[in-house]
Amino acid sequence: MRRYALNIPVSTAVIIGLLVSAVVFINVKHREEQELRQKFNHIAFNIAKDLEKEVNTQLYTLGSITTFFETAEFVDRYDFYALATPLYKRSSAFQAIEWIPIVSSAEQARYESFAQFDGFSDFRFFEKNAKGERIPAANRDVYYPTFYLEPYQGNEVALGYDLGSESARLAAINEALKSKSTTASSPVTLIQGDHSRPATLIFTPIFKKEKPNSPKRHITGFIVGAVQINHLLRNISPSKYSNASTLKNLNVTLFETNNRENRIYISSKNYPKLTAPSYRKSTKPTMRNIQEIQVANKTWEVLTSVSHYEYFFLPNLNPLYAAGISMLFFITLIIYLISLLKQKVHAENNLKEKTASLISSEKSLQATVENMADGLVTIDNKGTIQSFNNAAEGIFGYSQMQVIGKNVSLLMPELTRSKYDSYLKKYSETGKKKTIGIGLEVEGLRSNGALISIDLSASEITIDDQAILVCITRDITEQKKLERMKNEFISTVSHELRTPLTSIRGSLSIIINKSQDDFSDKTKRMLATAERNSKRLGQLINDILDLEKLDAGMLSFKEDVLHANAIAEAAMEASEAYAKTYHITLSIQCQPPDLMILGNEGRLLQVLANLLSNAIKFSPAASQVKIEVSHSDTMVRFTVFDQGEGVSETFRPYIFERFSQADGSDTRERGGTGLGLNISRAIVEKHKGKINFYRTPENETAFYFEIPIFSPK
Amino acid sequence: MSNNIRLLYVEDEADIIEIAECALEDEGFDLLFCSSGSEAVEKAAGFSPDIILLDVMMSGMDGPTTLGNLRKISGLESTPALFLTAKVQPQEVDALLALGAKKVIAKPFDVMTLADQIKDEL
Repeated sequence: MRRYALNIPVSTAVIIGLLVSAVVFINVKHREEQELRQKFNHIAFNIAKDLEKEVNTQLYTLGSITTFFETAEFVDRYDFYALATPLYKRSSAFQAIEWIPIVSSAEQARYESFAQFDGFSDFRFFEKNAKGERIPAANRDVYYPTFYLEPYQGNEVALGYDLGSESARLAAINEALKSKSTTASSPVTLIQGDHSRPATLIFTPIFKKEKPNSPKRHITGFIVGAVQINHLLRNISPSKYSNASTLKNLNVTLFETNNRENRIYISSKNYPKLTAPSYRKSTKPTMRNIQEIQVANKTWEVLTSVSHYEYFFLPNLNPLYAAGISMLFFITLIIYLISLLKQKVHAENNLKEKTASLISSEKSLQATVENMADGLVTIDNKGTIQSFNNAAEGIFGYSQMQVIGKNVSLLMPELTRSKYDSYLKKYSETGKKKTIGIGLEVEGLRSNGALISIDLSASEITIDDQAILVCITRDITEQKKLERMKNEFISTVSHELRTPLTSIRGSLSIIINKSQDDFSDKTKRMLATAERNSKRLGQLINDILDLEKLDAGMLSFKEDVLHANAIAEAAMEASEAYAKTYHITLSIQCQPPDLMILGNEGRLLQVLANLLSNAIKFSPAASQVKIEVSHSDTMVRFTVFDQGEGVSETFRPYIFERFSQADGSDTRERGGTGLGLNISRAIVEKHKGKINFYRTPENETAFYFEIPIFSPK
Repeated sequence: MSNNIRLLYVEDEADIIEIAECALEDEGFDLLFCSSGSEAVEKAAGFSPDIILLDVMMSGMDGPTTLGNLRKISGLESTPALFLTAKVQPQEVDALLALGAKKVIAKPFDVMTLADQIKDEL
């Protein structure tokens, strides 16, 4: 999978790259070719034009000799030499320039003797047999002997050769006689010189008036130029036409053609052997150009070509460069693509792993949420329920399907609903979040219409700019019911205990205080003990009620701004009577200024009364108990000093715990519920204060509590 | 007509009534004890009390209901009323005060100061 993911696009890119490179190569090559072809055609055209010009120049120069012959009475061998020499010297194309008189058979002997007179003793009209051997000219009516010849050197063998003895030459002669104009022969092999090289003979007729002053003229002979065609071609250098290095090795081939079907190979440049190259158009992509030129009465075709080999391996690198560049581009592209794909594969794998871990964590989260003990309900800012877990289903009696997408007011009784609506309205108007908070007790509505008590904790979270309210709900209906039962029980018990206690205490009090009867001292003591213990029982009931409230976290009270000194004085006053029974003197000492505190008067008095009663109880008879009000920068401290034995070492850690008293015997003797200090600590802590005790250097026991100074702003 | 304070006390516990009687005798009260709410409603108009003292938890008609019914009797619309009860938890006290009671005296009450506590509210 991973392999394929990488391979398919890359191999596609490779193929496309190769294709594009090939197309670029072909295109550039083609354009280069077009350009080259154009250049080549231009060169070929120029070559043909120059050839034609060269040949016609030769023809024209020959004309100057014929004119001389026509006008002079007689032209001797030396005259001819003088006329012809500059011509052949000027043009390397001429192998020889000859005078060919037309000689009838009757005049043969006269001409031969004339030449012999000129110094060519063995001069005879001759021809060549089939084997190429020199033989005396056969008997003919007319001879066309080579009579004058320049340059003589190198051409001597041709002197006396009868041009009429050979068909190609005779054809050109006859054409000239007939047309009375210059003609060129088909390619011939010269008698003299290189046999392998073709030549053409140009016959320029010499006209003579039959009689002086007669307009009638007839042809008396020819000035013949033997042109070595190779020499003509030798002068063609492509560099003369173009500096294109690719066109240096041109093949130029000449054909004679008077009709399209009959081409006669004349000569070529660059073909080492005199074998005619294929004239047919090659199937290979060679460059060829054919131009026609006129040479006297003949039409020549100039075929210029570049060999397939040279053409194909043109040293022009542009197409290769172009292809290379495009290849390079694609290689870069492929490398980029591969790296991109690797990244993608890597990213995909990463994504898969992450997705897998996300899915598993999502699943575990889902499972956690679904199976958590508390009901979880999420709602959007319009109150639409978005999720509803299993526990919520249990609490409200609806299934997920029934509530998701519905408004949350479905789960509320009328009263809560209207509160909620106003909250929502306010929220959507002001955008102000109101934290609903934690541990809120609200009423909910079950699907069967029953009201349930719910402990609701709600917090707002924002997901994708969407405010979502996450509500954790716990059904506390049972808990509330139990709580109510407990409250009722305690209330009832305390009531039921108080009622008989009222009678007992009332009775005792009346007997002790109002009875006129005389009792024995023992009876009086017993009555006092009974009264004291009935009071203790009453205190125990009060303490138990307080404890119950402490446990329920409901020890709540109203707070007022109070004078610290007044509290202390009130507490002292309240304990005065109790102190008297123990023969204890109370005193108070307040450090100015009189500071204010925030608290519940009754509860603070309760704490002070507890400390005072403890101090009184544990003081030796006829000793002093002192209340002191002092303060630090932030706290007001109430201290109660007594001269008792103090708190034993072992008891110190437990003194503020419940039902704690120093020892059993003391308890029974001194009275008290063992709850007082525990309740006091709870009350002080409610006032954001602390309670503790210490032993003074004067061997006094000091119990104190301190609460913050109230400073009105 | 003496100058005694006419006190109507509604209490269903006979023992408490006896203690209260002892506590309040010779303190300048004309006392009418009723052992149920309905008895109180029946006798109140004829007694025309200066002050009413009520227990809260009673069989039959409870204290608050009794007070409500007494208030309907002409002449008793604004007679000071006190509760004498063992129900002394703060919310209970607040509820009783909200009914228009002048004071809530906790049981067990102090026999020696009961008379003064009542007189304070006149």
